Amino acid sequence: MGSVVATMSNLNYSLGAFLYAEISGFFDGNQVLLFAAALGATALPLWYLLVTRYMDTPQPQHDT
Amino acid sequence: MAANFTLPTLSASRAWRFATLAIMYSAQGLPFGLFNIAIPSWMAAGGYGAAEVASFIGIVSLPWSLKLIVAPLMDRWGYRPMGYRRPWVIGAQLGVFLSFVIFGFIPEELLWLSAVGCQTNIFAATQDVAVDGLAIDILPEQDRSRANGFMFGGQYVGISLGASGGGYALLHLGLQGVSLLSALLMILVLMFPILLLERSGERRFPWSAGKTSPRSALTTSTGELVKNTVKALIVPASIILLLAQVGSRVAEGIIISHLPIYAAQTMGLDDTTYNDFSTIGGILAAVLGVAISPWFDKIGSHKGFWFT
Repeated sequence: MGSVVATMSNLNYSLGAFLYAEISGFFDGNQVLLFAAALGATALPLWYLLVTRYMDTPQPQHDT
Repeated sequence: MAANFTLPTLSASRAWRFATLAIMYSAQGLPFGLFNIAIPSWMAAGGYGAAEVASFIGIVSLPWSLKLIVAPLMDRWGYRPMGYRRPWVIGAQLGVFLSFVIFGFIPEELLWLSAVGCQTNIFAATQDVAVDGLAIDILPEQDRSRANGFMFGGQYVGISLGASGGGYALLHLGLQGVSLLSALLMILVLMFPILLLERSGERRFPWSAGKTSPRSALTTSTGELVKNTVKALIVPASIILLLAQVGSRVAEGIIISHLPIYAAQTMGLDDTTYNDFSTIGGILAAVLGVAISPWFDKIGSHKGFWFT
């Protein structure tokens, strides 16, 4: 599982570089930074969901 | 009378285990610092455009996405008389060394820089998978957290060397100088897995005396591995984690591509200043992360999330 997450994480990093190569001609530096910040912010609700729903949650106990 | 000197083995010596893992991780960090920070800022200062710098970063970083493919290959194939993971570590590290030698003799053109940079990272990513496998195999359960600290620290030393040291070397020695200097460091790192066997009685080289240890003779079923991975992937938490990574890592890819251009062409900073800032920022973040991680364990992930 860890290797899948690491693989996807690295793939997304490269995709970010390729995306920047495509859009850099259309936007100035500040607009690019704002775009990256907005993109990063889209992940926040998902991180929140992950933390609140799936972490610090007691594991289901089996009845004996 | 000659002294009977025997080198320690990784399974027997705790200190050499930690040292080897840290040094191997630093050898993965160096190409990252060089290819993601030092060379892009050198390119930006040299007049390369944003799209060219970003394409370079995107192409050279792609091999790190191939780790999932390499891992089952290692489980299936290997030369067990030399150890469970050591032959892969040696082969991959040799590949990084040779790639840096080649990098020193290519034309300074985007296509060549990207192609040989990508080749270097194919071997660096393979070395990473092999060293992770080696670490899991040789580390006792109680040593794993501490070893993780050494590995993480080693990687940051390597990134700093590649980014900051590589930047200065580029400025004073040129691309050929920095490549050959990196190759020299890689061959020094290669001495660790060559000199230190995983377990006593194994072969140092294919032509040496020795035999497969009982541990190395064990093989993992690739089918079972794939089945377990797919099972772990189709639970909701995994899917959310993968989706959450998209936004944050794509943004990181954009920012790391943009910053060398912004620093050199908008702010007018010289390339070594940007490299130094990146290195100092990275080290501060790493130290802060290590320092506050016990506190996060105390407050729990809910509060930790809001804090970050």
